[in-house]
Amino acid sequence: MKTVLVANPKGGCGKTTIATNLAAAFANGGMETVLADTDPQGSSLHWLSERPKEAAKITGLDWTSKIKKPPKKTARLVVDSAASLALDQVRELVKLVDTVIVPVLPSAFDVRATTAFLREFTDLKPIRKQKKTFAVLRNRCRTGTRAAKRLDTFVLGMDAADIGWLPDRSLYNEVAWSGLSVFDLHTKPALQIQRDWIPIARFIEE
Amino acid sequence: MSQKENTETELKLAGPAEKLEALWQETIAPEVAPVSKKLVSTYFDTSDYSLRRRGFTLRVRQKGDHFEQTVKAEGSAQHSLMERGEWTAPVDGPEPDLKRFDAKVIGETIGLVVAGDLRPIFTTEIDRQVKEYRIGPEHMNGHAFSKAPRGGKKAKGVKDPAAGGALVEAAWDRGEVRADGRREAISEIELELVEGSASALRHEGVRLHDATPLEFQPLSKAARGFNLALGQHPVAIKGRLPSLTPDQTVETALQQILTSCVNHWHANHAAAFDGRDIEGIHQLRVSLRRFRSALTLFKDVLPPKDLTWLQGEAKAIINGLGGARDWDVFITELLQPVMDARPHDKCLMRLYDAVVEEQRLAYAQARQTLSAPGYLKFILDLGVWLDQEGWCRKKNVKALRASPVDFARKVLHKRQKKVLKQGTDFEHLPDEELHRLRISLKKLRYATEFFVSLYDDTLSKSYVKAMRRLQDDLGHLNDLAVAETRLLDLCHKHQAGPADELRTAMGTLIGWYSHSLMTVRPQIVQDWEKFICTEPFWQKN
Repeated sequence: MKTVLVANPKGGCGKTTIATNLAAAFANGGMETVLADTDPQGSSLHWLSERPKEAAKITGLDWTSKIKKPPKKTARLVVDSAASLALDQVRELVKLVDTVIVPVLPSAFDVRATTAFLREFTDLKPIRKQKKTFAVLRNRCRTGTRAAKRLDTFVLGMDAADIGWLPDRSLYNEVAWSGLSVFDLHTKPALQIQRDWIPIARFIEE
Repeated sequence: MSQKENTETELKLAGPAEKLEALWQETIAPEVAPVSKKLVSTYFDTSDYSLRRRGFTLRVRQKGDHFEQTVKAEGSAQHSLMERGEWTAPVDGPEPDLKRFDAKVIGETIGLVVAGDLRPIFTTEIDRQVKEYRIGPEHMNGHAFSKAPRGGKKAKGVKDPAAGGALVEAAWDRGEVRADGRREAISEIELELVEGSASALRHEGVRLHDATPLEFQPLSKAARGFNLALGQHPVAIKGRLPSLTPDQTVETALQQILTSCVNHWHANHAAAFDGRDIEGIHQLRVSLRRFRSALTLFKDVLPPKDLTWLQGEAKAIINGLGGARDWDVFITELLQPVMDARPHDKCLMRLYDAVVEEQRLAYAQARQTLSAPGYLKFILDLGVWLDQEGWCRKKNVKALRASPVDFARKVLHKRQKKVLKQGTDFEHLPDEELHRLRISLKKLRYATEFFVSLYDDTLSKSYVKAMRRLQDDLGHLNDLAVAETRLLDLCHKHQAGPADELRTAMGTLIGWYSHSLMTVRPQIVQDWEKFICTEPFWQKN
């Protein structure tokens, strides 16, 4: 089993969008997939409850009060973490996973908040000793903008793997209403958006 | 959905088409009518070849009017080349569809691949003929192998895995692999175990090779395809150390150590034969030196006849590749640096030309060694010997069941004692005694590497480090000594005129390195002292 944690205490940086799409990517790739939600708001699990029966199966796990074991045959586990998570809680979650993805938006507020988080985060033992891999994912970017360039400088300055960036696309939001992700669609625009995830998939699987 | 999941046991033998045809018609189950198939397979990977990097291949094969896709885990250096994981699932068209595999398979092998990231890399087109036939135990009893002189009495209760016979699928493949307009011919016979013992399959390999001498082909078609597509050549692979645990037996240790040496050897055959990566021949020789060293370590529990046979065969291969390695070292490590410093020295250039010619001849000899019938014969016989636990004798059962820790302590202590004894008065040792010390040290190093997994690595780290440093020092001295001998032979070979220039170049080299030795020697003495002051890790705790 491979496990991925999507974490950043800053709210609104796209953790749930990334976690749900990643889970759907695994499930559509033919793997037994579990999506665990540590957020008391339960956005990921709510998304899952809206998910149509015909869509590739994802099993939900409520981790808000207690960490529960995923079923034995699970191949991929995606953990969506709550905003304003304390470092101690992050430390506990990091111990359980193989890979951590930290989404960050190209805004001054987000970059500042994330810098503070990453300073503590990269000092956690499993990250410092490189026992776990982690990457910073630039989310909702528009290339060529000044904000995107500032974000590039920020990400390259961190000692994290570069897994590219996800452009701002309205399709993510449109399909999320009905418990779906871009990986559940086979339309041309959806396939195009899936390609944005190539570096992320390679990073997780290696 | 039909799924096939298994670990394949197969044996590949290569040779020119006419040889294989004769073998196919006369020796391989002539009474069975072959089934012919045309197989066109396309191999897929991501644009950065991430599947290959992680040791997997993915192919779609057209069989008549339907398609099937297969994921294979290619053997790596620590796995036997004979065993490769393989999973097949149907697919609707020429493009792979990973969802069609069993969920468990994809999760544990290639994982998430985003749509559009996979692309065709190369195609193999093969005319295959297949025969399925049974090799019964009666075939093996009459086989030359069981009458070999090294056979002794088997211990009672020791099972002979070949006894059951086997059902074999033999495939004769003729065709080519194509990538970007480049082509390479394929001509091989593959034996695959349908049911029964792996050693029965190897016995069958021996039988075929005895009928018509063939060549060892450890590379899969996929590996050859990638090399062709990427314009790469086979590269050398370092060996993996065996991982032993104290609760095992001497026998398990013996088995794992010898198997790790053999896998290391096979993994470097292609690179050694190809020759473009000079480390290929080096690693192949290292694997066989380690093999011989392991045999000596275990000599008290091995039947003497088997020991002589294994040592002799391995030695012959090492020697057959020795010239190529000596000239590689001479050119890259000794001659090149001096030529860089004296780019206009005509005598050195003359020497370079002469040496490159020697290197070419030595490589031809190396290739001959690697394609000689005896080489493959040894590979096959050794495979059977390992499978059947050929070391088992009634009288050594007790020794084989003993603790590997006691065994390791004894042999490591013995080797260490020998090194210390030979190194007495280290500063004033003459060259030939230094050489002997180097050999003993190398044997100690191999023994250390074989057993180090039994110990906590915090204990062994400093010892291994001190030993390696000293060994590198002595290795440099030896390179110089070997070079001098080879150069003298070279001068004798050439006529008066050119020989003068060669002698001048030789003088330059000897002078150059004699001077550098003056600065190196004190360092070596220091490294020696550091080594003898490091406490042996097997005596700790």
